[in-house]
Amino acid sequence: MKSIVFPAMSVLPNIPNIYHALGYLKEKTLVKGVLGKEINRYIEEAQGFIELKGTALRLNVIEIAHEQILLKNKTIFKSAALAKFLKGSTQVLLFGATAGQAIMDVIAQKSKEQDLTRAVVYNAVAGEMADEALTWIGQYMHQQLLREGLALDNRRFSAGYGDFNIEYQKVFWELLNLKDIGVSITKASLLVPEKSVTALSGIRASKSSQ
Amino acid sequence: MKNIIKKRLAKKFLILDGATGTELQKRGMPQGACPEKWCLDNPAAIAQVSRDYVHSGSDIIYTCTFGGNPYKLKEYGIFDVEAVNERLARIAKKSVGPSILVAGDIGPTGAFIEPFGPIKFDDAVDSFKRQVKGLLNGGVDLFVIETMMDIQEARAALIAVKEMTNKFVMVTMTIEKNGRTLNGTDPITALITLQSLGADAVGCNCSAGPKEMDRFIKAMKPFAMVPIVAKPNAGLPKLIHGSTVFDMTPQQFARHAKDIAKHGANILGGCCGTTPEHIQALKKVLADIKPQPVQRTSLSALTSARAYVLIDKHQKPLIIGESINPTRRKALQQELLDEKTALVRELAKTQEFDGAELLDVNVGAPGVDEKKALPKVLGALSIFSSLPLVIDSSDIVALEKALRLYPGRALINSISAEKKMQPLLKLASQYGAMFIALPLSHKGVPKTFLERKKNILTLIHAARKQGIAKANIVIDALTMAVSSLPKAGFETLQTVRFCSHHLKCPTVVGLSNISFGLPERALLNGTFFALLKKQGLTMAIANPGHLKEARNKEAQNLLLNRDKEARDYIAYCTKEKPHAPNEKAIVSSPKDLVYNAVLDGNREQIKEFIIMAENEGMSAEKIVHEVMIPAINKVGEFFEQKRYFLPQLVASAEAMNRAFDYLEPKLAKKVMGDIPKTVVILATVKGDIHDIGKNIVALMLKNHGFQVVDLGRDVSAIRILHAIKEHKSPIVGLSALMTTTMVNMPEVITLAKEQHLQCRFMLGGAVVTKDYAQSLGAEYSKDGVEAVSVAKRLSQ
Repeated sequence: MKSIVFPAMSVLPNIPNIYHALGYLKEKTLVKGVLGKEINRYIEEAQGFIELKGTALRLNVIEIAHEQILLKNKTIFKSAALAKFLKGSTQVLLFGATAGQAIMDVIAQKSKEQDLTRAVVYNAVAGEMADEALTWIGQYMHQQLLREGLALDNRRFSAGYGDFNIEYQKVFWELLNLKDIGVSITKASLLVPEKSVTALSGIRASKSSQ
Repeated sequence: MKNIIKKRLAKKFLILDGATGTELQKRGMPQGACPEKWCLDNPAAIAQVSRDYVHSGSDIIYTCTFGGNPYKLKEYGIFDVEAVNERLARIAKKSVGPSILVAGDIGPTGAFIEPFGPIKFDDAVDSFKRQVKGLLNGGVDLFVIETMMDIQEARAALIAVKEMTNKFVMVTMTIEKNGRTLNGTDPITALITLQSLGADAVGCNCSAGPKEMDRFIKAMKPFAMVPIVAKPNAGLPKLIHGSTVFDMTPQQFARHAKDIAKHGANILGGCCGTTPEHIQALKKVLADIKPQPVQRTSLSALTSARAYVLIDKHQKPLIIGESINPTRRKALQQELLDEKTALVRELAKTQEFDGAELLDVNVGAPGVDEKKALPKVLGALSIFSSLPLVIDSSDIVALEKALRLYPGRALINSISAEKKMQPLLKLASQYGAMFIALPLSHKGVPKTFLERKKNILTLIHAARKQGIAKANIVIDALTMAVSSLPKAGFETLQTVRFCSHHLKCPTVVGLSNISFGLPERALLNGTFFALLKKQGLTMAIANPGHLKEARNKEAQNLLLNRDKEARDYIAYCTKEKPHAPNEKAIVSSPKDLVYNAVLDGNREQIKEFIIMAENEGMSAEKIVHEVMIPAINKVGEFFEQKRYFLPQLVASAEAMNRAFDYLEPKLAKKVMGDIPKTVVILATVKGDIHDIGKNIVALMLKNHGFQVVDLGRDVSAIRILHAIKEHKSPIVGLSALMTTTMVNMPEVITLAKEQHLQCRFMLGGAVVTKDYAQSLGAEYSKDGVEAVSVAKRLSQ
């Protein structure tokens, strides 16, 4: 199966999540005055540099055993936690997203210019927007699947969590053709640009009331 | 047929069908099959589903062509799009007989259309046209474009239908629980865009249950010029035993659907999880109530893909940001020539933040091909900004391309009573755009209100002939420089008053023209803005960052033609004004101001406050010890207590840094008291590129008197060891964000031990834990504040 490419995603930023990523606690943190306005301005500015792109790929599950998952394209994921997570799934969705290189270049530039407050906020916006892009792809695919009598699990699992080795990032990178959306991978399995993410969710049957 | 449907809708609800896919599955369609193909192979099954819905009370049934577009059929190796759609339309028509209406069903392609995706807009339109052609050949009575999550795709399908037939066409969007489509369009924005473009009914289907959809329908109704459609799921999907289930009973469904009908839906049916029983229950409850009629015939409103702006003379004037215009902006001219959009996006975001509610987009510059540049810029802005756009171009071809591609309802800037008036009005009508009427004629720019009035009436009359209502016209009251035409302000004010009070039309002015050639332009613009507002001005084209309403007597007299040759105004502007007292200086001592500048992260003013403190006799040492250090310690405390979050911590640290930059040359060699100038080496280890956390640590350490040698990111063990030796550093901070790079930390520590280097390590980064650091014989710090206390401890 070919991956679906989302070359120019228009996703709204989740402002509370951006604040949360920066350590904001609703009950405790107090932001007021000029700096409060500045932070909101930086959040707006950052969006101008973020170019969200994504890809998604559906694969059939052949077998989910105790500690490994075999997919139809012969990919094997060895992870007991993932096997438990995918229990009952007939297919899996692999998906990835990136905030693009432009924002990372600006963050580096601002850090260099000692404008670190701006860089810190831009960094949080880029991270959250990439994550939001993944959520968006998940919701989009769920909508498509519902019409086929299927549904996407709204939980996600990523390489590097639990016993699902980070080195599987390379498998995600290859299967999702992340190169096509400008994402490369390092020997240490790091995706570049830095604010690039991948995940996997299970696809199960959907039932209507009878 | 269109009129028959409209007449029926004036009197009663029209009932649609329910879910098709699940009904087909009950009749044997296997999961993963192509429904269109399966129905062609099993026509009796789909015919029975349609008949079941008719027996349940449906007035309109959908053809089983939801996935009948070329993109979807291709996934199953089917290429004869027209034939498939024609045959399925015939099956539907034959199964229900002449009294029931058959809607040709058009669903999403699953692909994304420019500017949001790789599919060219006109390719998408052409693909939908193939499906429309087949459905027309099969004899459908009307069309439905449904389950659209992308407004641009809905527009492409709607344009395809409108360019092929005049039949009744409904468009329904899929709105999520958060009140927006996945692409971020809210129901009101979708309604305004689609009804302006010519949809005969607009609404929602799928995604939400009737309870949630009620909210969306209620929101749409006051803005609707067309009947509203609601086709909800049988509740929200629930995950039960690993399967998604729609479990709302027909009675529950009907009860909620009744509320939707009361709140304005005129056409109702069911989507995922609904059955003929749900439709039967729906029909029964609707028998008791009367539909809410459509109340509007026109609406002054503009949209982007994600937001709408109402143009209402009772609200404060809307500001149209004017900065995206290459005239006198060399950088923007160059960017357009280079076919880039980074500066455009930056200008959009800046104006949005400064308060612009609409953005004027002009790409006219020498050497720039507007036909290419305008759609490109509009596409970029549609992705990056939610403000509706004002398309400012005199090139008809470029304008048409832009209007066709723009995923919202645009405002054309502008149409005048000149040669190009007729073709431009036709474009406005075809794409449902609003337009700015510029009261110019072949005779040139009219200087008086009376001449302008004549041209305005000509434009309104010509627009009416094209079916464009007055509410869709914004009159430009023409602003000329008061320096060259003393009555300019007065004439513009009269024009605004006439349009607003007599014609009841929205108005706009290019505000800054008035002050051309005069001093204190902001004051004059601001005063003119206040006067225009009083006369009912609806919009102003201005720089939102510079526009501040003002009420100045001299400016007002000049604008109302009471100050011949602007003598009093110029005298006022050149008169020396008393300096405003520095309020802050009165309420706080310079020492307090410096303290607060650190606490508030006030990087801009800290140096100014320090100079004030010095002028009062405070030494640099005293400022550092008695003011700045206690302040940054307080910031650290606030951060620990979560009263401050990261940007506040960093801004305070930056304010400190700026203060040190200024104070450093004045400080004695050892000014930090108990804190020696210890050298700390910082590095993100080999293989890791994440360094923002390390940069924060560097800044915090500098604030507390450490000398930081920052080696950067992806630094090899050898380079770190070399730096330790070179700087004789007693403290080394290493960071890593990933488990795969964290493993490079032990190598550095082991090598340092092997080479008997007398240094201590502190480790940090998202995946690093205290236990991990301790296992390597190193210290751990979770953030910049803790890094400072660890470094202080290690340096003692």
